Amino acid sequence: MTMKKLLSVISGVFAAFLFLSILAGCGGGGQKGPARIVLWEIMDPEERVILDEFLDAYNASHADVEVSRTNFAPEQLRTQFLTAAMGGGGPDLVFGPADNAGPFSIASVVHPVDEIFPGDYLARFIPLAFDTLAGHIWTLPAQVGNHLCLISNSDIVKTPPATFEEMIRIASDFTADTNGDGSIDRYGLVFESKEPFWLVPFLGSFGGWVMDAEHNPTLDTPAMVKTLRFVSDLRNRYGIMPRECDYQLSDTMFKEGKAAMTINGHWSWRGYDDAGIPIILSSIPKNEKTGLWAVPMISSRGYSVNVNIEGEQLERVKELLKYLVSPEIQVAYATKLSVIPSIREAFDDPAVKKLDRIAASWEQYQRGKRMPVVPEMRAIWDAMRPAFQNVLNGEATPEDAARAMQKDAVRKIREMKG
Amino acid sequence: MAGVHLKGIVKRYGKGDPVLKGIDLDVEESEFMVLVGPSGCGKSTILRVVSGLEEIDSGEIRIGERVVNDAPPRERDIAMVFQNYALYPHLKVYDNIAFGLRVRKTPKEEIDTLVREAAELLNLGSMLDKLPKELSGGERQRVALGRAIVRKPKAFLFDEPLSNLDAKLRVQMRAEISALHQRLKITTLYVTHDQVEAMTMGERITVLESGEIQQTDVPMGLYERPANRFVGTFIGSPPMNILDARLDGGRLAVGECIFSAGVPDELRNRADSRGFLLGIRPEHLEVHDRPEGLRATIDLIEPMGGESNIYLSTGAGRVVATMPGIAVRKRSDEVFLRFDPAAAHFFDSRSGVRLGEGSVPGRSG
Amino acid sequence: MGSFLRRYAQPYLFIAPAAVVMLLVVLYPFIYNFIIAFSNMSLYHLRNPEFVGLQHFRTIFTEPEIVSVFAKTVIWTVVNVAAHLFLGVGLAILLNQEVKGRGIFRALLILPWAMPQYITALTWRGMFNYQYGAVNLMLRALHLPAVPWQANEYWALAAPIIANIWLGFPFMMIIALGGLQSIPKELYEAAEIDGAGWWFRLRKITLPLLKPVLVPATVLGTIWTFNNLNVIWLVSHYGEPADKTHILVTYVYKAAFHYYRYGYAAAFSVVIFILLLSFVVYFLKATGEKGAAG
Ligand SMILES: Nc1ncnc2c1ncn2[C@@H]1O[C@H](COP(=O)(O)OP(=O)(O)OP(=O)(O)O)[C@@H](O)[C@H]1O
Ligand SMILES: [Mg+2]
Repeated sequence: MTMKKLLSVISGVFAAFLFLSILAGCGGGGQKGPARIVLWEIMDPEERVILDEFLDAYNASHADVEVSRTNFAPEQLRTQFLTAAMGGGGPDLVFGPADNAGPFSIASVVHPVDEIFPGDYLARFIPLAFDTLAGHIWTLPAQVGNHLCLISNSDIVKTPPATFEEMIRIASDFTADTNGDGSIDRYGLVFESKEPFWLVPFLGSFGGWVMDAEHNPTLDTPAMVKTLRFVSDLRNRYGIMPRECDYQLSDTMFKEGKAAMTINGHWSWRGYDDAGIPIILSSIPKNEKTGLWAVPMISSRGYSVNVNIEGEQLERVKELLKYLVSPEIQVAYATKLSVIPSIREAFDDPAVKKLDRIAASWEQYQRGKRMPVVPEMRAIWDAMRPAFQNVLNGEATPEDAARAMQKDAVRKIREMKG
Repeated sequence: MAGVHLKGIVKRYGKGDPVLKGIDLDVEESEFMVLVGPSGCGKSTILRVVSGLEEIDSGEIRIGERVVNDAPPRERDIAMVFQNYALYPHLKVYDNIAFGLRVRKTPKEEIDTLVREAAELLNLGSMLDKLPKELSGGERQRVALGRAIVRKPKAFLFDEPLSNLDAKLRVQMRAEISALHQRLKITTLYVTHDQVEAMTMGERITVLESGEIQQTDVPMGLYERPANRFVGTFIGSPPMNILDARLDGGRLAVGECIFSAGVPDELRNRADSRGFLLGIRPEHLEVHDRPEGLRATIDLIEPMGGESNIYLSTGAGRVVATMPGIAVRKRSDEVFLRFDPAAAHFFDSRSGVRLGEGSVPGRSG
Repeated sequence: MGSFLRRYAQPYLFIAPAAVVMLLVVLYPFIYNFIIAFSNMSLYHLRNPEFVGLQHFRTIFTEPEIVSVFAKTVIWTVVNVAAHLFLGVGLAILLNQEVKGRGIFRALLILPWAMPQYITALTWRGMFNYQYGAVNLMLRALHLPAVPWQANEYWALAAPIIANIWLGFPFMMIIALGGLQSIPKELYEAAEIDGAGWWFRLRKITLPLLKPVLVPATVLGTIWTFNNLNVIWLVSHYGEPADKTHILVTYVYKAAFHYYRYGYAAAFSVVIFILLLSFVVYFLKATGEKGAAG
């Protein structure tokens, strides 16, 4: 064979191989061996450690299936799953926050949980754990909560405040310029003041909420105006919060013992423990002017099943899903990470019942209100965020900001639906 | 215009041995001086030192009346032509020639007159609007010349300006540069490693080796009275033959052959036991069949057209002889070599310094 | 025909895999983008998009924010590219001299480029914090007023620009260094003998001779900067404050992936594509003809 012929044969084979591999990439499936189940999740690192232990155990005891998981950032998971599932592919299972239900249900990319599981199975869960949208449940909850609480450094705060007034007083006492360089280095209260999620508890305490029953934004209200003024006062009038206090700054200051109190969720507690900060959990205080407790948004996190999964594979996925939300696993999560279980057996387990943190978190949970899972919420967040920041920066009055929020939210929702 | 005078120039790069080891060189006003020597001997360094691109470690450089040791290049008012022309690739021929004038803020109209004048002189009139890459090698070379002459500098420095050209063009440009010098009479220091170029162009030639000047003389002076073995073999092509020689009873002996002719007095005065070197140019060797002179065997014959180079082996070493016309002999022929001892050069076998008549003593160590 | 095949079959076979991949990963999405630009595809019309003609284009050009977003895109691009060029060429010239420790300087200056953009951007975001960020700490140490990098509309644009200048200059520096090293030393020597000073040589030799490498690098740099989503998105934390810190691409990104406005975002990217295409054509025409050196 001449060199030239040899070359052309090689190139032909190479081209064919590449072409085939592209086709194979598009097709997928149809292979022998254990059935593969793919899970996409958005868990925190600590959660993933626990998950991996149980998945390994599951794989070991089920020779016929092989479960693999991939971690995503929440936004990534949402958009990529939407795209993949719309195209008829995607993972078998996704784990995410309850508000994924909005886009997933509208795009019909997940099975309604109430259609693939019988009612008596779902009855084993805490009723509060479910979100319903368009008459269906779209996510099987694995944990409830995901809400904010007040976290106090018990070295500094002996008894957590029960009212805003008390909270401000304790915070003022701690706020100081300890090294006398003219800038304050110790603050009474730190929390993510760029995200409106942290504004909502205060809004609730003034009797307001983000949307009505028809999912229309209700942002331009007296309650919102008072809320904005109150939070702005925390920083600008009482001076108990730093400027441009974002999540990272709050986290760092609290971990360094330079902040007396913070407002954060269950995902943060472990970090504070590791930093050696002794924490007490309590409900975000009561608004003495209205007599209402602060109302953090509550929601679940859980699993949804890809609508493209059918038949035998669906049965396999359901079996895995039951395992993933089983009391055994939920107790492990609750005891290790202080998340509130969604299934009653785990919730009532003595090992869980005796945990102070779960109790405090549950108390706060009951004072919270469900986060809407409709996609409109996203437009509302984005409308609230800048206006909220403008108030904090002194670039807008609470009245103007409330009006701007409402207008912007209405427009964004219209555009989304357009 | 002015002469260029170097006195005791020492230059070293970094910490190593000096590259120039005490150069004394006088290029007189309007003179065309060629600097020749093998690669790496320091020719370019001399030009760079004169132009001010390099500083010297000791010695004195004078251009005209002014000592320029510490003057930056722009104050020395000289022009340099580089081996690779160093034309500005992004500028048209016109702008390349005008560059130096613009630097000196010459008025626009004057620049135009001068550039056109230079272009006229160098036959570049039709190329003023072209970019260097659109020119042939010879044309580029002429642009480089134009850039040098347009400023009317005190002196020209050329660094092997013809080595990138093909043989034919080289001959032509050689003539053009010489003609240009005839017209402009600008003091010129011209570097080459090609001895033919040196011989044909130089009014005087300086031979340089290992950073030391071997000899400075007019071309025929170098040819006829090489100051040492190096100059003897460097100038002339094919090179001068060097043979071991000795005195045998007052007569010159080379190999098995003893010449009847006398030798210079200076040689006679030396101890008989001590040998010396005999240099004889190829054209002074006569090849014939009579058993007289040195016995030799022909190794190779190179016909050159008008003459032939004949390479031979003798008992005293290998030699080359030049004969007019086409050689009638062939390889392996056994022949005899004869020469007139008066045409021979004698060198000390250790120092290489010329011995006897016309020698220029004491230049090298 | 037969001889054509015999002659070219092999080269085409070699190209074929690449061509197929190109077709699939570039051309197909490109055309698909054009198609959905004229549809109302969004979360609510994912499976049943309808043809809406030029509606999105009308919306885009009547959007109240469009002028300010476009202006910021221009500022972002021009300032970044100009700074990259200035710093890159300047540092390259310095690095091209014979200085001690040149290798170390060169390595240090390439460092910003070697780090993942994502990490650099987030680090810069931290450094721009009002109270505890390194930048303001430094300003205070110099007795200068602290700057509200994240709260004020204009500073919030300046912050990602600074971060991106830091990220981007090494590229230009490397390109310019390569260009400088290909300029023969004799050109400078000839000019020096002609009496040209430093500034004259820079203007008349260095810059014109760098042009052939700097022009394509500038075109590329402009496109990259114009379309650089990561840095401004992350440093401004998705457009804060108040969605004021957007350039066209971050604006589109938000529409597409936050609000699922696929049709609208596709139409917007068509507009961006046409803008960039006209820029490139214009720029290459304007600089190309005369820039041919070497
Ligand atoms: N910049 C430099 N640094 C160190 N050594 C150098 C430098 N320039 C030249 N040399 C050394 O100095 C010596 C003379 O160099 P020069 O360039 O003057 O030789 P030349 O006679 O011009 O040779 P050629 O005919 O090859 O051009 C050489 O040994 C060379 O290696
Ligand atoms: Mg040289």
